[in-house]
Amino acid sequence: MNTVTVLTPTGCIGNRGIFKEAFIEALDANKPDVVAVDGGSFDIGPWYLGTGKPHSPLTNLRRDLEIILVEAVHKRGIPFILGSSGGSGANAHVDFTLDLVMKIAQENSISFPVGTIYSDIEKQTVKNALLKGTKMPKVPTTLLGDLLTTEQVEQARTIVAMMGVEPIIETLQQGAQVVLAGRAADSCAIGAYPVMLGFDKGLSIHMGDIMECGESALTDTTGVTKVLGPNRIPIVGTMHDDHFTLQPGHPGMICSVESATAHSLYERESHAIVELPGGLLEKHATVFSQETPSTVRVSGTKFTEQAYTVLLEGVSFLGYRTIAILGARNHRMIEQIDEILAQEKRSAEASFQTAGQFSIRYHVYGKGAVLGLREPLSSHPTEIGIVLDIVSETQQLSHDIAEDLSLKIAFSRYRDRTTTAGNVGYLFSPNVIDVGETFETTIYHQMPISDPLELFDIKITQAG
Amino acid sequence: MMSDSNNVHLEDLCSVIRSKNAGPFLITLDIIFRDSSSYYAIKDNNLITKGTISEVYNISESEVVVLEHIDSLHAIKATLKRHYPSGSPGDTDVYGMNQEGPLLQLTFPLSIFD
Repeated sequence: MNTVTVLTPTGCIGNRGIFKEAFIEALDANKPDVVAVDGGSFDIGPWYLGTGKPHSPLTNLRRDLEIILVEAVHKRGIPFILGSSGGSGANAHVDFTLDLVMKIAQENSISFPVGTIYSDIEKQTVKNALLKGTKMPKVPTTLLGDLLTTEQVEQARTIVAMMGVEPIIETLQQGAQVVLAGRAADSCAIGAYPVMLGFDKGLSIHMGDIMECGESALTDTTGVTKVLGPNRIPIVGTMHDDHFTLQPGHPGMICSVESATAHSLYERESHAIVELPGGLLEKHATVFSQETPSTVRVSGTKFTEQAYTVLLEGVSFLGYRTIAILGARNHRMIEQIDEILAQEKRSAEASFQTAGQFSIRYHVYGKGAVLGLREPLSSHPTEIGIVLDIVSETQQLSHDIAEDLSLKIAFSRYRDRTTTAGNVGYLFSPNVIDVGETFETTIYHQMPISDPLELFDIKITQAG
Repeated sequence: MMSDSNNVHLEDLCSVIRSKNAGPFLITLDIIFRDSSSYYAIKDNNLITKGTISEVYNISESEVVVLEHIDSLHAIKATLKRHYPSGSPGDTDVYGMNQEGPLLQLTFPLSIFD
């Protein structure tokens, strides 16, 4: 019977760093046909997609890429697939990842064909589809319009489409030994190779769905992850005709039915159905069983083809942010904090009313900052932390408002005040911090397409 | 808060109570019970519903978009609409990984195990 083995070295490349020794041992013990790993997420917020900046430390990303390219691609001839390159998978992210790959190839005197898949979508492409009457619905949220509008598209700084397995397979078939994919569904980046070889699509993608967070689907039986830190150990999946198996990439861990199934809840809206490009991954009939003490066998998952849609992710530039952090430790001030902050906000708004567009937000730690409107309890803390969060059209204006508002709060004349020399502790000097560009997620909609490849631009380059 | 002799806290029945983003517009809560007797005591007595979740989070029931009982995992999953998109202005938990707190307040009478 044919099999194909996929090795995922970590849950996110460059995040915490591959454990090199375990990776090399796992390559030799499992002889994988492909190494596949995810490089990002949109959960990290819109700034990365808006700016094109990396989401993992570049030093770690470079180190992980070098380990994979030298040990797997060069020494063992194993192809490598990276999904959502650079964090958000925008063109800028693919390009700086390609740049790292080219430098690593040159410095190590190694050579291989690299395929890049670009997933930025031209605004005009989306607008043309909207003009033709195409409906693009959103996810369940009350924060976006039901259907994507031309205005949302026009306001966006960057829009990417999330690819399925097809562009990755096409790039491999065009001869790439290393695939740097733009925005890709994690499960599809890891499941693409077995699908290309004709293995069942539902099982292949489900295998990717479990493996995408690396060792998160494993159980540590020896304390190895306490020593190494989390998510540095590989997970290995092997596809068979009618099932797949999952095994640990390190003898100190096992894959158990519990660890593998628990992961099917993780970061998903529903455990049973996952909406993916081109269809639904359905796990209603999935059966997990313990095949060996460290290996789990999975069968029964189905991929139900639907009219092909891709998820569009888009962000809009809002302005420049400045923050300041103040601490309050006076009980009279804390009792009146809501009034004081509201009053000083009104005062700052009046001071700057002709200076330009701006917004002032407070995050009051100790008084529901983490849960916001969902906080059911009221507390009477000894001290509170106040974060001033200013966004405006220029960095200088945000800076000035943050300084002005800090002073206003520091010397606010609240009821029964005894602190005539000042009300709060400034955390730093300078007490305001210019954060830079700020973005908002404005597009998270499904776009129907007729060809799974049509939005994705594939290029093959020789590295080294 | 300690469990008294008549009540037990959800925390004491579970190996996992966590929250995380499910995309930038949803937060999902995973409650995994230590054993099947605890799970079925909660499930069969209908003690965690969309209503329970909306009550402990002080939100309307329509904000709870998914509530699943997963027998094979002894788990309950609830998915909430976010009030701000992940990492956009107003949001204070970019990954949504610290939203489980209100669930820890849930207590149940020990008689459900009778």
